[in-house]
Amino acid sequence: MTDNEFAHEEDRLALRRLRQADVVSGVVLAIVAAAMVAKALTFPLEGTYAGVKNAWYVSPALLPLIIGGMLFVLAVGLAGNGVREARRLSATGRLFGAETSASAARGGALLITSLLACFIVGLVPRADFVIATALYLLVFMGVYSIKSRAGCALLIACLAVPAALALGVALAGAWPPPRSTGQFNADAALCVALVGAIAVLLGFARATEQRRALTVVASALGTAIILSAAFKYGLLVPLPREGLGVAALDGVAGSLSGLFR
Amino acid sequence: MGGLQELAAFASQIVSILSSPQNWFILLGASLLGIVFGALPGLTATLGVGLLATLTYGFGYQTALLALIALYVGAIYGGSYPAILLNIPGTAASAASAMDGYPMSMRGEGGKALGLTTTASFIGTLLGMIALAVLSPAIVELALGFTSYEYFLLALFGILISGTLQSPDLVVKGWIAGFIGMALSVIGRDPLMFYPRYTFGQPALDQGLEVVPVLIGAFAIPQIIITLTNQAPLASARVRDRVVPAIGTLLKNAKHIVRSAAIGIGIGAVPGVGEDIAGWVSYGTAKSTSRHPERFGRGEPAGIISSETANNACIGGALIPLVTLGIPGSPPAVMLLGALMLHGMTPGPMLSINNPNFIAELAAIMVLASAAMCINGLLLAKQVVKVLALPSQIFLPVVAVLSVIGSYALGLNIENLYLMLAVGVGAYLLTIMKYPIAPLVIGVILGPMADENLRRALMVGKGSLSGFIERPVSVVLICATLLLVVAQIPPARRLVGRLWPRRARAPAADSPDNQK
Repeated sequence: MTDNEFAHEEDRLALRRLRQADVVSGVVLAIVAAAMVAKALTFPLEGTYAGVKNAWYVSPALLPLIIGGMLFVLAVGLAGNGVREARRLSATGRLFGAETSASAARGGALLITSLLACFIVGLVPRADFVIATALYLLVFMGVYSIKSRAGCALLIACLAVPAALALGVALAGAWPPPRSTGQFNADAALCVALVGAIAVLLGFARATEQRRALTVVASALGTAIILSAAFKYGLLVPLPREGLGVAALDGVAGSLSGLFR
Repeated sequence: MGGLQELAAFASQIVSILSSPQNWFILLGASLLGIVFGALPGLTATLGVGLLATLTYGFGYQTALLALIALYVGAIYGGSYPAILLNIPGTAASAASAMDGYPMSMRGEGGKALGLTTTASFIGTLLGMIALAVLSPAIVELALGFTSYEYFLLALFGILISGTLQSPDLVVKGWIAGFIGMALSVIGRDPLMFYPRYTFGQPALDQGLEVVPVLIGAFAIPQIIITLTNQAPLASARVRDRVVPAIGTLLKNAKHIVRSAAIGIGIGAVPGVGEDIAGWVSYGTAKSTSRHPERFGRGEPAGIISSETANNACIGGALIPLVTLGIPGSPPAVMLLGALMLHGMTPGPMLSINNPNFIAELAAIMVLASAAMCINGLLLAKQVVKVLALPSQIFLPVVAVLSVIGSYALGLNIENLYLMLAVGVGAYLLTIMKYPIAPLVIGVILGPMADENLRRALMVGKGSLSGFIERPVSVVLICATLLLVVAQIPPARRLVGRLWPRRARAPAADSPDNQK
């Protein structure tokens, strides 16, 4: 196969995968649109609601029905076009073949999304913002800085396990209130996870990666402290959860203001 | 207001802004931040404006606008740095600049190319500002006659044209993205009857979705994921010669500057179509009208001048529909709209009525923002280039933290973070399936306008649709919308192709792909 033919074949496969994705997204969107229309039909179409006389043209269902209807038609059209095109582009004439799309990119996207979810859903609402941010940044930057798979897995565990535990305890209704002893204990445990993550990063970094690993540690800790201080003391925005880390920042801020008084 | 009065208002705004040392600091700082944002591949002007909008929440609206526009202008210009020095455009808007900027840089003329970019961007921003100042009052005058019929049709047309022009694959995907945005906008209590729509008994959804977390999620999360999963090691960039404005080259290319500015302003004024398209169209036009098209792509200064003038002129163009009709002209303008709404200002014709000096104020801010960009560009270009060595795996996680705290800071509401994450993941999935994101966010913003005005229009007509075809502007908008839709139907396109074969072939020849 010449380079030109190879490139052409790659393009054909990419286009086919895109059309297969169109079929899936078209079907999903058509289902969502149908559900949207079904729900809109339960809104008051006529009659009186909350003392306001209703006619079809002022009904709160009017625009949702139009949007849902249009979305359904367009999604079905997209799926139909996807089926036709994917079959045309397939050597066997089948809609879904054996080949899969680039899994490396998907794996990377899943990793990033999981790290973000651990931070946003697990830690930010519950743990001290300074410590949670430092841990998240260290793990996020760290997994892209070392090549060791075991090191990366341990780093991810340092973020995922505390995030899952925090979420589980909160869902059970046992998470302590802000600035309580329980909150400080939980933050101290998160500090241990942070120290563990630093140890994992520096321990698994090869000789050539050591300098980069040190940069990551400095960037993660520095960014977490500077950003938190800038929002809390500069822009006067309370942080999502304030515990041990913010108490330490308050102490430093108090000492600094005492020096200049 | 007469022309002299407008000029006096403009001059007094400039003096008033410059009289505060804090404003100097904000102007130069935000402009430099914008240049850095634009220069770092993976960060965009839209994202920069969105993140800064949350930081300026506590400022007065003028200070906030000063910071946001300085950052917007700086970021559109800053994208040309890596385009010229590394052949990697920092923003999509500067992709066309790489075509001739990189060959110039390879010849050791990186400083000259950056000097040309700086001055062309400065001139482009100024010409865009003049268009904004001249055209806006006339459009406001026209828009004051608009009723609910026109506003509903305008919202629909804005979403559809943005979907049509922004879609990287099938046009239908752009329309679907727009309707998904509109669907998200109907969540919450409806504005006329306060009936809870799609809230599923959750009080947090009663007020509807917050616009800014949606915007940040839609633009930041896909950008972070895509940049990190496709990361490529960057080459080191250095500028060896001096960065100076090549006035002689600019004078020689005066016709390219004027034409490119007109293209940029025109494209900017189309809802949702941004600086990237302006840059390419202008580059293509310059090449096709040049006596030496063979020089383009080999380091031709006219190529850089055309794309950079157009993408910065586009800023003024994009602000025209924003301030006159409340419809953002480009993705960063969507963020500006969100920022103005945060400060309790509703863009549209009433903005100029409630605040008669607003256009003059905006024009003054644009002039100062372009001056700050020019100063930063000429004095600090060699230093700013050093940020290109910053690896994306270090700065993108920090951008994610800024997105989190920015979304939270608005209402001190944790639910906003969940919303941002959910919208971000959804937007990423749509992006990899080649759905455009700009129509989605325009749908979220224009959805409430469409909802309220459709029902108001029907209330006026007691359920009759005849009002839509009895008003001239409304008829024009209906015809434009129908043309837009019909033009995408294959049999209609074939018919046009048979009736006007030459015209049907022309756009294909002008497309950016053919000009590479």
